Amino acid sequence: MRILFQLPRTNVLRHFDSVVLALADGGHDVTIATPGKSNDFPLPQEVTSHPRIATRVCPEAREDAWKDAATDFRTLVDCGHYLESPFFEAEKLRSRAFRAVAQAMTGDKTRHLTARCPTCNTKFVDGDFGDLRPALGDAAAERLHNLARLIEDSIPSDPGRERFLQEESPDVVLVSPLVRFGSEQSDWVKSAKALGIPVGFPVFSWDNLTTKGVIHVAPDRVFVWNAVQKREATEYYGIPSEKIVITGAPRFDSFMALRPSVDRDAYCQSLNLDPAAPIVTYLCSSEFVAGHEVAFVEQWIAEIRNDSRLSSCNVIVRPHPRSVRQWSEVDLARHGRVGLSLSRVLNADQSLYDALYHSAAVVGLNTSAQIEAGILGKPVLTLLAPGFEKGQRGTLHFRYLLREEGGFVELANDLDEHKTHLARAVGGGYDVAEIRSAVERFIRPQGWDRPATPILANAITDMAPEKPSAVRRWLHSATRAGR
Amino acid sequence: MKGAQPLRILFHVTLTTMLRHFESVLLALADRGHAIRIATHRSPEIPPPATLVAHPRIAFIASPGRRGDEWTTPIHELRALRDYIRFLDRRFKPATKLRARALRTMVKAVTHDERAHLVHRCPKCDARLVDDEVGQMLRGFGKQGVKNLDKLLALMERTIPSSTVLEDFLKAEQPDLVLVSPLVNLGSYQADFVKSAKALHIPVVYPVFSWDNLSTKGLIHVQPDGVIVWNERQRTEAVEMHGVPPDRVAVTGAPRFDEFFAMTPETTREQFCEIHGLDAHQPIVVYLCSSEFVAGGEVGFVRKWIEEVRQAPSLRSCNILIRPHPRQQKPWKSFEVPDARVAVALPQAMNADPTLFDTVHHSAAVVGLNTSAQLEAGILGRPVLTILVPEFEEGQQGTLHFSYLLKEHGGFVDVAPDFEAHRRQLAAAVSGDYDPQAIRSFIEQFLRPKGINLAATPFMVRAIEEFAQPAYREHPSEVTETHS
Repeated sequence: MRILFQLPRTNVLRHFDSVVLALADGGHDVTIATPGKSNDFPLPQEVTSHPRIATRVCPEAREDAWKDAATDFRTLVDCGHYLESPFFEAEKLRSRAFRAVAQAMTGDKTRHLTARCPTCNTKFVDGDFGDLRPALGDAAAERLHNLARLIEDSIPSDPGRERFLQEESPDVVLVSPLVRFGSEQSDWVKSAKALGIPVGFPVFSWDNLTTKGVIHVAPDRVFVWNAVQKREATEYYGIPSEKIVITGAPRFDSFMALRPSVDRDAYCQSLNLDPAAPIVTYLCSSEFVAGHEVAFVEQWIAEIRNDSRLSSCNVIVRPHPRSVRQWSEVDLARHGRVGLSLSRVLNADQSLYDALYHSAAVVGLNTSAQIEAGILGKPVLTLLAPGFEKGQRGTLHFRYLLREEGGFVELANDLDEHKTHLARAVGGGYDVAEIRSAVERFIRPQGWDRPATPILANAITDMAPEKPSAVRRWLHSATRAGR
Repeated sequence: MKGAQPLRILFHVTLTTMLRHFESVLLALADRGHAIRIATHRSPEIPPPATLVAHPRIAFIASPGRRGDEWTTPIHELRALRDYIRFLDRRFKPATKLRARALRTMVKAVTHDERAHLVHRCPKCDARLVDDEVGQMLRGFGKQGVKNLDKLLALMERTIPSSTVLEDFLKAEQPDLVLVSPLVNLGSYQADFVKSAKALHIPVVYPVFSWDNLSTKGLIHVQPDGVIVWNERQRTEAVEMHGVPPDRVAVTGAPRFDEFFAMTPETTREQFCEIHGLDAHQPIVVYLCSSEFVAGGEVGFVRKWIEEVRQAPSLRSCNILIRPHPRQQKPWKSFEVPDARVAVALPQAMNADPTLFDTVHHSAAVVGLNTSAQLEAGILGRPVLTILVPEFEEGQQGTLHFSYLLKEHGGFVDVAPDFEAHRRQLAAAVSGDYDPQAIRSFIEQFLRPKGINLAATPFMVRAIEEFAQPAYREHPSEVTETHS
């Protein structure tokens, strides 16, 4: 079977490399097609060296009149999505959507959307427009939805993409992350469908169906991590449930296979920590969620140090892999027994594994690494941090991990409550089985001991129709004739 | 018609009242042997002109009103949105009234509710922002952003397929040429007739309905094969505001005034004054009322205007004749004249009204805020004056076409910023201090650019026949770029 996996950048593959390798090992030919950006990360060596895996540069932009326009239109639709519940309440996401529209419509990446209130002359910028929620009513919103749907249906398949797919002649096309503002990947879905090639969308991450817009063109199959994402796909995007396959999250399979690289004493020694005291790890969040987090973390450490129940704890601060620069000149040593664990690795990071493994408890505002902590059965805590509300409650996925929503993360409303939670957790007052059960539901819903990689790989190969469509048969014969 | 095959011409109008501006053209076409089919989807709200009904080569038929497919409503929403965005262009900045009307149409199109408004609250001061106050925030995209938005909407329009319902109608009718007017109503449904005619390779031509239509209403959403305009100014509007290729615009003059040009007075001055109870020895100043859209509730202003005019010694005893707008007669039926030399002359018709002719003919000067009848006054060489009225600013300076007639923009209408200047100008005009040649020259440019003594009707007829030629079909340019 020939499988074409289209990605906007090579680094997206980090969540699917195990799946691509599994497919190739299973005898399938996989082509990874990206637009070939000059600053792309190199693909992993085991991927590039596999005899059944090839890479190709594919078109990035449409080549017809809808070049740019399709993206502009979809960005507008994405933004409109954030004017409706529950997305309207996701203030941070809504703000980003408005900014994306301003940039798309002006073609200027530095552009902001600005206007002034005609009454008080207050300047509205980007997200402020999101507060100006239009009051046109549900029926009008439905009509605008219908208009957008009809327009999307009218946008023709891109001839350049069709040509590329005809040349490649895959049996199955995969696209991810697909859901991005203005998603140009929608055109890959459209062209694959136009040619009768089954197209699947493996969801990139746990937040992707709520944070970056909508599915503009429905693929034939959507591969999701869990039941929560299945509900998102059906409720928010109207994907029929029979077209959704719950596979779990392959990106964690390699993490779950890791083992600690150092023992506790050696680990503590490497970070100047006291091996006799418990370790609390603080996982920093992305800049989108938490902006500049350094000051808050230092305040949080000071609070810990001033609490008799926690003052003797070691603290490890683990910056977000994409925000390491924030921490380059920060001196945490003055707090005593605080280690900084820096890493730019985004997936299956041994240093993250070691930090979490040796921790008694883990704290973070809103970050994927909380899931890795849960995998290791650690108690994970969060608190509503003043100044970061938009990156927490202002996103939808924040609540998915909370205990009160069936997850495993303990939420505190303020620092005092948080310190109580943390003291209890450090003292062993938590239920590992409960954490594990929640993590299982979230990333391995088929069973803790069933890696998601083969499940997704099988689901992908199941997509190929037993009997190719008339278009596919024609395509195959035309391609062969042309060779 | 010598040397050419008679054509089968389908003329689609939204209302049969629209025919009043094309009556002479349709009769001339029919007289030249062409078969005219006048198509509208509504029952005639007023009887069509008897001359058209009686002509053996003119028929009235029912057409589908709208597309009849899944795009029927959404396309109206899309066009209404694009029409509103048109008014965000810098040249429409003062056109608050036009922009507000376009926004109301857009909101109605989306909500299907006449009473619905676009309402927001300022998150800072809690002010209630309504309709255009909200819509104008789209300017936050900047000039390029708004331009790109319009381009995007234009591309969407181009992508929307032709209606099979309208195509079936046109196939059944088998016209050699389609005429469509007024076409530019906000959210225009008529654009689908243009789209379907083009899809079937039937030449389609848009004769502009009136002097303000290209600047006050919506866009030409789908480019016809030809556009017929009154004058060079409208040609510029068609090209710059609607993206019509210059070679697709024919300037013919305004046939609607041909009949008026040909009129002669039906009354002597004495008879006219007697009918209206005026003093035949005193000059007559005519006040032409404007439409409700331009000057809603004009009665109160006219009362004040009379008081102000009477303050000028030379105007104290002149006759004043008020002519209400043909669509706004009701408020004047109970109007109590302030003195014996003031009268109200109710109109008899929307076009080529003999009573308008006699009213202007017997007048010494004409005053109006912003109305087409000022053109009829110009045709008769009368001095025409206007005054800027703050409460009607949106209907005057807030429209683009208001400036077209002003002397300071090459027109013939004297504009006064206040009553003092207006009294001075009016007194001078009544005493005969004006240049009839300048008035005539403007009227020629504006209504009869081929020559003041040459009727426009034959030029429009020729233009229509010309557009039926194969060379004009299937022009590739359809996307209108409207933002300068």
